[in-house]
Amino acid sequence: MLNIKNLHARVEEKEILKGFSLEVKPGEVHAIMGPNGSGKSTLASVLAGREDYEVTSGEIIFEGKDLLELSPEERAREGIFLAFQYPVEIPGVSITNFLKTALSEQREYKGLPQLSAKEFLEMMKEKKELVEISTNLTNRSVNEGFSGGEKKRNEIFQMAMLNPKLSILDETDSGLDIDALRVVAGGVNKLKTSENASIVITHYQRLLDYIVPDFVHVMYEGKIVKSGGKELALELEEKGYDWIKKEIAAS
Amino acid sequence: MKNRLLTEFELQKTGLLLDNPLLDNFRSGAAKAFSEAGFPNKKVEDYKYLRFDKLERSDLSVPFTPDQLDADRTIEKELIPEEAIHIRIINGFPDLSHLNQDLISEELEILSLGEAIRNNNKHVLSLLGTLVKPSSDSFAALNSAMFMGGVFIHIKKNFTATRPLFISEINDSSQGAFAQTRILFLAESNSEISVFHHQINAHNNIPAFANTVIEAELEKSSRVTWTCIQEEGSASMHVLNTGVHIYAEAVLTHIMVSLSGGLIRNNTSMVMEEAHAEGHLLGYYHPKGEETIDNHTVADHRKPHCNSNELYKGVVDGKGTAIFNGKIFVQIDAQKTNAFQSNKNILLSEGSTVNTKPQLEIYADDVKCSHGSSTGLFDADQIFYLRARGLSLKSARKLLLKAYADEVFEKIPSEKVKEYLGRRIESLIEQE
Repeated sequence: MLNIKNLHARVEEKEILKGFSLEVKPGEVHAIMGPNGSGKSTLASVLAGREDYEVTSGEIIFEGKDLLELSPEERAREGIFLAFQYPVEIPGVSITNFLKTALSEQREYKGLPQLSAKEFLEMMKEKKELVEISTNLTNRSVNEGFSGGEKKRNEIFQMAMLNPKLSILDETDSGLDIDALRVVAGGVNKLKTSENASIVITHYQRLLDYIVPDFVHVMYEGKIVKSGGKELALELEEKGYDWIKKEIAAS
Repeated sequence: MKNRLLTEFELQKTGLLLDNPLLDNFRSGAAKAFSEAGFPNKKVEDYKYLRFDKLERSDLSVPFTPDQLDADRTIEKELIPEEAIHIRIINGFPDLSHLNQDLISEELEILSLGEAIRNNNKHVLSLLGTLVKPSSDSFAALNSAMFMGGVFIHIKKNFTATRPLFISEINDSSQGAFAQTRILFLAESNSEISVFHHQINAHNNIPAFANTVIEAELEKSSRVTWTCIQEEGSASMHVLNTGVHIYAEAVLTHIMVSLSGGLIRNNTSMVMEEAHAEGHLLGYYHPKGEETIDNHTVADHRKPHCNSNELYKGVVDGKGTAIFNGKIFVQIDAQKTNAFQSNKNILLSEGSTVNTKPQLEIYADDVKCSHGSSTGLFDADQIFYLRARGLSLKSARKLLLKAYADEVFEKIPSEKVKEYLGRRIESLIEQE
């Protein structure tokens, strides 16, 4: 599904990704962990197509297409979804209207027939239940005045509505209390199929108690330095990131 | 043009002055004021960003009789609320012929201003020229000297109008008209009405000039919402002087929406005449191409416990220019004043320009006043967020622009008008 090979990227003059490689197949959940400043969020931004980042070398192939050639909206329409670490507030734009437009443009791109107003509302209702988000919230402007937990829940709701092939959850656990964490993770788990895949970016292990990864990668100084199964996350939790840093320094 | 206007004035003087000898001094004084001041040039501080050379050199006709209506009226169907009482003013002359008299009650009087003057209407004679003084502005002076038609709208005491009033002000001449429109409005105490005022040029590509004066008095506890929509096309020029006096506990909501015009200048002034008066000034402007839209507003607090609230938002595209100048006066008696002002601008292109200036003059010491202005681009994070969900750049901008404008449009008391404006804003982005 996704193949990232030897990716180098920089913001302004600072190189942040330094030879990042990763392969993701359908049905897989990959966790990317790492200390602050290791380049995790940059990776998410580069995948989504944020223009502040310049890819200097390497390639990203998504479903056979050169992702780096695509605009952010084309990537979204191809099936990439980024759950933002800091979801943006957009006063005056209702969630309903925004999702209607997003869905309509994605369906047009894929050559699918447009949903009727009734079908759209039914879909909203179904997905709202799935991620336990209230109508009260979806009637409001996008993220305006939302609490941290509400913002993250809204991200997962949008993910449910847009049904992506690959979702990238960028620090989705940050700023969440344990109840919100459970709801958000529950939503992600319910959306999991053998066809789609997720990349879960996190600093802490606790999210992985709820979203169980198939692979755990440790990112440090712009690339993956260690990969393993879900037990690697527990080991990291126990030994801390210094353990990885020492290992690298030793080798 | 100036000399031609003055010659016309002399020629028509007999006709003009015959409307009522009581107005002799008013008319002549105004003509003199215009003769002395002429069209403003760049040395006039308040007009320093505007050029009227084109107008001065123009050979626009000055209509002294009503023209025939011959233009397409489809826009009216799209815009005018079904329940509205509709009147037209064409080249300054009221067309009340098709006014549905059944909709009018005794409490709502709509008269030809010229006729009201001839009939010695006491309200008209006492108010005319007091809310927009000829000496305040050379265009106001010109209008005061030369207007012939116009309308007088009179809402009587305790009357709540269930139907809004819709005024179409149409510049309609295949030669291009230099029109002087005048509206005198009186809301008596405890009355209530919504007015929509739509300014268009029936011949979109033919240069035209409209010089409009609106005088409005809101008596005690009256509530008036006035929505003005300007879309006359890039070939047109328009100067609009609006003067509103608000008395105790009366509430004005004034919404100025300027969608297109080669040169638009709005002087919108409200005076809080008595305690507990309240005024809201809202505006949305969207110059593009080489258009210039200039809003000068005044909130004049003369008595204590009055509130004024102002929000003007603009979007500037192409080589367009927007000017905003907002004055707040808090006079020495106006203790416990609340006066707020905000001006926001979004630049859509490299060549667009904004000039914004707040001016506060505060002579009382126990007041709350604030002002702020911002000029910037669309928020890049918001645009990226929307695109990351699959919206094209254009759709993202449309959505954000509508949300931006809605903060002003939401105060408009008609769904139909709001939807019309929403479509117009979208089409402006579509044209980019």
